[in-house]
Amino acid sequence: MALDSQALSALIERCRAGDKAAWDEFIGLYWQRLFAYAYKATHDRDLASDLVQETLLRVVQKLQRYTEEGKFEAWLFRIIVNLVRDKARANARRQTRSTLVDAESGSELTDQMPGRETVDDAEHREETEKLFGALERLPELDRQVLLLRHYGCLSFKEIATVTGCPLGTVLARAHRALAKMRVMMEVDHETS
Amino acid sequence: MKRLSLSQACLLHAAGELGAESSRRLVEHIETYPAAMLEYDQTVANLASLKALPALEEEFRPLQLEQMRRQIHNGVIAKQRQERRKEIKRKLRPIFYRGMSLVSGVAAALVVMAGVHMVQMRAAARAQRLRDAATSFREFAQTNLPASHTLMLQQMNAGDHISNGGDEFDADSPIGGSNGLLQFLNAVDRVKLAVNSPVGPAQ
Repeated sequence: MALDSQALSALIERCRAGDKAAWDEFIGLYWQRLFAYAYKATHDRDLASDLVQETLLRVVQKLQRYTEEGKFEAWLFRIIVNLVRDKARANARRQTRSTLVDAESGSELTDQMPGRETVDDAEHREETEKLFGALERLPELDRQVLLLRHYGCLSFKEIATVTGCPLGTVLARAHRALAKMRVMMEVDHETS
Repeated sequence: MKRLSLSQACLLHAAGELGAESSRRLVEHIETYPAAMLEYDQTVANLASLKALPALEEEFRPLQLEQMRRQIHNGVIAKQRQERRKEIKRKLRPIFYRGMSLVSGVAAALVVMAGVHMVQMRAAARAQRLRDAATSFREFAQTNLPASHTLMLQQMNAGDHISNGGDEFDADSPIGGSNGLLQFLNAVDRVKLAVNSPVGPAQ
């Protein structure tokens, strides 16, 4: 999915030159990771979509001045992390989880899963919900590290660059968050 | 190189981000100490639990993903076009203003030239009227005045009587013209006086 540094540099150069195909490739390459992070951080599909657009637009505006030092993805994710943070500050009251409604059909996402749900599917869904629940209950910064790691597909070093924290701090947060999630999952299992 | 704690090193190793030398030392350590091995296993299990979080493909149908991709793509491309138009406008603005300045400058120069030309035309017309008046008077005097008076007029024309201190009747100059007109009218008065005097005009 990710390009090696040479291919990425070449792609950035083509984008700088205004190559439309390069921009298509660039958007195709990154939109899903950016969207996944923004969506999991905001729980709002439309807002996440807007934030991804805004991030890519800022890249369009700033790419001429960007100097490639092998930290492009960190730079890209720093933009969306800042946008998400600004949005969260603006919407001080964050909703726990918005209901996902299909913009066109108006049906809920949970209805979109095709076919009948088997026992395995139900268990898997239940596990996933517990996992999400545990993730939601984490402190903001710990959660951010895990989201960037899992949905942004960033290394811990890149996360350190994105968040502006030392690597040790990022690792400590990740370790603590994972341990907490595990404990919460176990408690949920016991209570259910 | 910053020293990492055991849990941090385990996490980096489990994520595949620990360097070769550090990995070797970590493996040696966890093989030596059972507690370290336990910590490592725990960390690996914790990190694996994160992988259980569903990817976007599991939450959205391919059609929805395609729609979102297209929406984002179109938004970015539209904005890119808008930015390009803005950039072109920004580049053209100084050229437009320079052009406008040039046109304004030319228009102002034309107005000034027209003004100067009108003043010159008026001055020339006034001088012409004075010349015409002088000519008419000379002709009238030559035809209607006696010879002695004509002689006096000739003397006047020669400048002996009407020019004091070398002032010449200059019909072409607006200042000289008005000055000359004054002298001319004085001369006319003197002619009248000479004609009416009992001695008669000087020979």
